[in-house]
Amino acid sequence: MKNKILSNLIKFLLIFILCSSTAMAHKSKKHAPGSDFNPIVCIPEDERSKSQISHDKMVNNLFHRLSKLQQDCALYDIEQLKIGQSQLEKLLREIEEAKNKLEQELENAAICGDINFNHKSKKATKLFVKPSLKSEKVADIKSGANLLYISDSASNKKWSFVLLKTDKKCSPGYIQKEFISKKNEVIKKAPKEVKADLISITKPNWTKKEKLITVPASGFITIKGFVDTNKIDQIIVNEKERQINNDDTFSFNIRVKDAGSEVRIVGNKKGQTKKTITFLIKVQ
Amino acid sequence: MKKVLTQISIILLVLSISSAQSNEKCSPDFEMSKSSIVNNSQNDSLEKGEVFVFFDQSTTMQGFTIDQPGQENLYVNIVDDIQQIAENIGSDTIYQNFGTEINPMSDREVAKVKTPKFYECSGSSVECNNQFSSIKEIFSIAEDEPAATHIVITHLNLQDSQLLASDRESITDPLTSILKQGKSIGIIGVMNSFNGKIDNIPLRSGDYTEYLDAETRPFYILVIGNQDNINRIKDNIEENHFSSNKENFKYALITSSPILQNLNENKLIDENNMPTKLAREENFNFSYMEDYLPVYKFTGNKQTKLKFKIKNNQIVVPGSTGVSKFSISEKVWTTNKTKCKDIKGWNEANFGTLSEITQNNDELVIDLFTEKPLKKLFRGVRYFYKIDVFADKPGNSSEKEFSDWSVNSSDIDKFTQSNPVSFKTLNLEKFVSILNAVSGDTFKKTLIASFVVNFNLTK
Repeated sequence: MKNKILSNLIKFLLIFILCSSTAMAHKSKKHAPGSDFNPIVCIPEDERSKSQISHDKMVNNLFHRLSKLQQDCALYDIEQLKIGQSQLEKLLREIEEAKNKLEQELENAAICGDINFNHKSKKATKLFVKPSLKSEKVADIKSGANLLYISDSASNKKWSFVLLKTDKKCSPGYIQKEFISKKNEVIKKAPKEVKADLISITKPNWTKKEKLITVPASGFITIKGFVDTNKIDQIIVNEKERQINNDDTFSFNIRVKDAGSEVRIVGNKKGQTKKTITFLIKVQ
Repeated sequence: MKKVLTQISIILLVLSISSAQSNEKCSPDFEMSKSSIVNNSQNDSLEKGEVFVFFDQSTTMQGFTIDQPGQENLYVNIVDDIQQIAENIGSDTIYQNFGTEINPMSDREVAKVKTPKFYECSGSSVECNNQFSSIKEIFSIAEDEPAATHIVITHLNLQDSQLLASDRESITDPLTSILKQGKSIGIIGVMNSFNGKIDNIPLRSGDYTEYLDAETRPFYILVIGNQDNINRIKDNIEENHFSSNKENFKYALITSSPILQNLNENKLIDENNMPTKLAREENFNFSYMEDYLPVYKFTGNKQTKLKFKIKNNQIVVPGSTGVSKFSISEKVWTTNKTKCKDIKGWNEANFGTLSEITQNNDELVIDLFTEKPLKKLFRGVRYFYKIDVFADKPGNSSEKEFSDWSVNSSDIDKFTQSNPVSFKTLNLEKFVSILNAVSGDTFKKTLIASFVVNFNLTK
């Protein structure tokens, strides 16, 4: 009877042990994320003890397999690569989103290809977000790149805020002043409607076309104008010949007295008078 | 026979006339050399002329109106002074601003000249690109209005292209005309505090750059007119602002004649022009002949020292180019009669060059009888030795005056990269040298002094 009881108890214990083995494989905080096992620890080869290294060699030579430590390291490497890949994928998604957002913004921005870029870069340099070399880079600037100078930095005199022209788009940013140089003066071309006249006065403005100009005070004033050089090759102002420039412009200084001054402009072609304008300049 | 008698009587008549004329001749017959100096300060009418004031409205001029800590700002006060002087020296003062063009200014605008706002440019980048001092326009106006005084306040930034070919002629042609009319050009330079941007600095590559770190920079007042008005403006600025320290003040006068005066006309030659020992020589006498020609009369020997000295400040206009070359013209007459009453006639002698002329910083020295010493001349003979002193060639002292404030276009790139605190003026020396060259062309050889040593050389 005793033996039977003992035998049954042993059976029960055996069944209990066998049944509870699954329950013992419990979850642990030490487990690798998303797994039921502890994180794989890789002992790099140069940190392994002599016995570990000799064991690795023995397993490699005798069984032509990786040792446990070597397997752990291989698994660790695979795990790290998987983590890196997912991070990169995440970054790529973020970049794609930012790119889409910027493209959307740029579609609404004014195209700046129609502006006169009065400056250019002297050397290859970078465009920055802030007037500091430590700030984020906006773009690389090639030597001779077109720049539109906007203003000097208020906080750092050695930096200027500019627009960098790349194709039809402009990138705003800060550039070190030493890298900016001015382009040659742009010659203002005659507007078509002005050139339609044989002789046109462009500055100062007419008060009454070809009759009267009024100025704020007496003194000397520069009168600027254009001629149609196809029809006029000589300009005479108050009996004195004036030079016609390469861009068809002419200018002269005249003294406006308190009582006003009369100006007579004669335009000739091959010595023959083609147009005469006589007008008054008066003080307001 | 009758014919012979007529001829003899004619010869006798001629001889009697000539002997009658040569009685008691203390001096030989010669033509008195007269000066051709036109006194620039005296050839103008007493009436006050008009004054045209031109303010450079380039945006860079703004830097002179904004104080720079630690540096003295005189711009505002000097502009104020100039406005006051202009009102005083002229019958009417007319104000203009200039950059790429000239515009008349209303009274309200004139009041703004001392403020940064006046120099702000609200136009397009092309319209505001007015950093080149369009000085040729001012010279052209000065040529058209020769009776007026023209005052220009500018930073005087002149590019190479403005000093070459047709643009250079636009400066030199009116200038020649101005100088020929007896007018002069005064350049007053003031090193002032600067807090702004210097534009249009040419680079070797052909591009232009800007500079922001200058703390001092000169500005200039150009005065075109008669020397009296130029000196008045210069003296006023110098006395009011630079009486104790002239380090930041420079002045040059460009004139057709850097010669102040002829010493004979103003009777400025006296015994002191010769060594004091001379007055102790036997029978010494100093007098003016025909109220014009000073004569040192004495009895001398081979030991007699004769050095005639003229102080530079008596003959050279202060601040002008000066004179780089002087010359002398010598004439000698002799007679074997030592007493005046016995002299019947003088013989013109040809001794070649007798004396030497040298110049130092303070004076002009004519060392008499250095080339041919007295000991080599005949004893017992009376000599009448007349010397005319001429200014031959103008100098270039005004270029040197401004050289340390000037930088050439070939050096300005390197100069800018050296991060200078005090910024120099582009092509200033070249500009002054062009003005000097024009004044040199209009310069004429000028007689500045004449004198005579009339002596009896004893054994």
